[in-house]
Amino acid sequence: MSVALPIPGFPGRILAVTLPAGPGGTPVTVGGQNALPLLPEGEHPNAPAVGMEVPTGPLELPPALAEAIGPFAGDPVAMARKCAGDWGARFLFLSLSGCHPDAGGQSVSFGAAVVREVLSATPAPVIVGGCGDEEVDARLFPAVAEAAGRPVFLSYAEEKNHRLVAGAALAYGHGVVSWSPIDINMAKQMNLLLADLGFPPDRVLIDPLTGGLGYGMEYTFSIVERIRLAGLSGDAALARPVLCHLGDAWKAREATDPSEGTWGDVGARGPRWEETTGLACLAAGADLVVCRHPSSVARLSGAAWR
Amino acid sequence: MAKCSIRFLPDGVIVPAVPGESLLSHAVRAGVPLLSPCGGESRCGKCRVLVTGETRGGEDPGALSRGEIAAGIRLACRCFPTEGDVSVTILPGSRPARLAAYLDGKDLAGDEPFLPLSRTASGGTSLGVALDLGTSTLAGTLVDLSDGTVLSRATADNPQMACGEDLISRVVFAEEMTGGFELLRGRLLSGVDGLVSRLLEASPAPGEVTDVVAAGNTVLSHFLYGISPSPIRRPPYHPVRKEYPVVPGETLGTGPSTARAMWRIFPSLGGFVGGDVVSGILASGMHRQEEVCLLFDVGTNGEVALGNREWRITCSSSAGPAFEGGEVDCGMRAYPGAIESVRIEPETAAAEWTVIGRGRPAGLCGSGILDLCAELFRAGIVDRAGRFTSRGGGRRISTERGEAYVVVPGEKSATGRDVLFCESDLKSVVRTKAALCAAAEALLAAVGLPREAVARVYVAGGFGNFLDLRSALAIGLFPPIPLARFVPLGNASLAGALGALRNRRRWKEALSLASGTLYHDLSSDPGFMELYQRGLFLPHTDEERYRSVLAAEMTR
Repeated sequence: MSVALPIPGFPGRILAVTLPAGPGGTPVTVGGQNALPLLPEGEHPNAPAVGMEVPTGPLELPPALAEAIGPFAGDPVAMARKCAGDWGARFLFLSLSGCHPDAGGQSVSFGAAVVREVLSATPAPVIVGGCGDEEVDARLFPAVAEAAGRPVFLSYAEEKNHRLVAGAALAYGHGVVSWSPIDINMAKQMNLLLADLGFPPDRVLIDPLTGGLGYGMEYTFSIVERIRLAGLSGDAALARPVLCHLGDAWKAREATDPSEGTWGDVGARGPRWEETTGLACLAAGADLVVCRHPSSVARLSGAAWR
Repeated sequence: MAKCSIRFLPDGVIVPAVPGESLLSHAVRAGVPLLSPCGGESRCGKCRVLVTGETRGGEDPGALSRGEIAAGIRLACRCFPTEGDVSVTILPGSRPARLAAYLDGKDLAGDEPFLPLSRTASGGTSLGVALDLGTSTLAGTLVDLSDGTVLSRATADNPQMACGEDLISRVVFAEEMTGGFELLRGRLLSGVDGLVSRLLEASPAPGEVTDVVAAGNTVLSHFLYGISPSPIRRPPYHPVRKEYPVVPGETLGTGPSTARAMWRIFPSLGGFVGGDVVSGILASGMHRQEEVCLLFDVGTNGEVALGNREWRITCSSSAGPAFEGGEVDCGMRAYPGAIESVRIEPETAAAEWTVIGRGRPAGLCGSGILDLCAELFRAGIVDRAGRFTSRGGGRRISTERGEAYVVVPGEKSATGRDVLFCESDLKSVVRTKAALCAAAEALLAAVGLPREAVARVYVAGGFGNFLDLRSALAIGLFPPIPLARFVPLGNASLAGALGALRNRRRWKEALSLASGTLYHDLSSDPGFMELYQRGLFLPHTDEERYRSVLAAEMTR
């Protein structure tokens, strides 16, 4: 006697979003699935994508990162080439952190020029991150939107600045990363606000704010999972791909502090910390993860199952 | 400072000046009505007075313009007499007024035989008084207990208002000021006595008051009964007592007109859900119905009850006084001069309004604020997050308090100043409505019922008589339930007290209803903050549901 297995199907499907590439590059398409990760049922047309952060401005790198990316960190163009080439990142997260008044205070036009150079140096899809200073970002995003020679994603739009960021993105055909502080309702509210501005839904990624292992990762896990379940259950405003930036893992003492001898080699601890955070995000349902260490790209890409 | 005095105008009351005491404290001591929603904390900027004579302080540049300071206008809570006699004129906007609007309430519990509580009066007709002790307003009805006819009705401001607009400030006032408790209790008793005197004066038939039934929130019931309400504001937020034994007025210390009457105070359900809600449930008849009903009491605090004849559960939302004129700069209570309804012309973004008493507008009362928010949202002048968009044309200005919408331009207002509605005002309204809606959703979640299970929604409270339900639903003050299921009740608390006065079975019903109603503490409900966050959006994060159930109300 054969028994039909009760495979529950979800009524919704996550919207497929494409991060466009330059000439000769490979665009990254994520989303499109109608099931949760790790489970056998449903369709998973696109595997999660692993990208790397390209920093700008002066940096104080923890030991593990200093060793791996130190030689390139001061040169965004070289770093971008290395990430997309040798290290296997499928997309780049170009962080204009150097424009922050406390981190070098590069000018807005300098930031825009960096974006232009990186975009011409590599065809990989690019997400451009602001510097985090509200006042600077208000000038930075429009400048970046104008300077970018091909479509990118702007990260990030939050409730306070969404009009400005989404407006700049709309005017020049870019996408946006919609950010909310580990709160499913605020994530939905952000997407509704973007929809009210007439922003195309297939150019929006959700950044739910990622806490590092031991520093809030479980909150992120739960929110990503709930966002995914809501999207699959038919909530269109949450049926979008989720991006997790693993940078917070590098704020953990465990990942960076060389003084604790009993914790083992700090050079190994850092990447492990990032990988573990990334694995959790992927298991929760993240479609894009951004890491800082080259070894994490390889390991997370290998684990980017569906 | 030797024997100086302070003269309050237009009341003409003179009190000796006490050094180091603010003009507001003098006013409180003199019994002069002066609005002070924040309780003298210098936060609300509403205790505006015109001063002649030597004073210092009270020149808060955030609340007063340079011109006003030069003209002698001060904030009474921060202004102190220094030398010589001082004359203090309380400005019209800072002066409470009386309001008849808080009287009407419906009793839906049905017709019942007339079975008055009373004993016989020693001489003349036996009279009964039903009282609604509100945080802001006291309302009363005088009834002939021989046949149940209403003889007179009256309202008065709660004289405790000068010691803080919300209950917690009053509890703090009672704790921290020397003699604060006695002062607040005295003010409540004098307010009640004044109200009863007015009821008796207006009554066509003389008689003796033999019974009083009072419905009030827990804090006011404690004050009236002479018990300290302090435990209510500390964990676990329990009141000292929930039931108040029936006693004669002289035990409570009331005036001679009710000293021999028996006082019945409705039982409280919890620290923040009082006898007024019990009385409201009684008037709504929810406790006799098979279907599940929701009851909102929208006042200075918001209380919600859910249930039917089998079970009931209630909670108090942390909703602030945004609909009673507090927390909103242009807000005022429903006095003459308050805008009570607003329409915004989408093309020009100009507001049209109606004013209580037909004069020039000075501010907006709760229903006006609600209408304004709904209309700003419908016209696209504010977005779902409660921020101003680029629309609004000439009606939008930048002020020291941020972006603002000009509801009434200065040349058309009673005060000569623009009546402005700022983003921060909108945020207070959004917080208030989110708290109220989330409270109802939390009760539904606590008993595991969907919104569709709610057959009727009763909206009680003075404000409930006047609010435009479509505006309320358009901004998500209530959960998305079809408009046809809403029933405005008006002052249900007073109506319930009246019902108990006319039929002694109803009083017994109230007592059993109180013990059969569960108090749900939202501060310990882990799901509440999430529901609240869902409500911090216009109309709500569950936007689809509002659109499908309330399409017509959203667009008007």
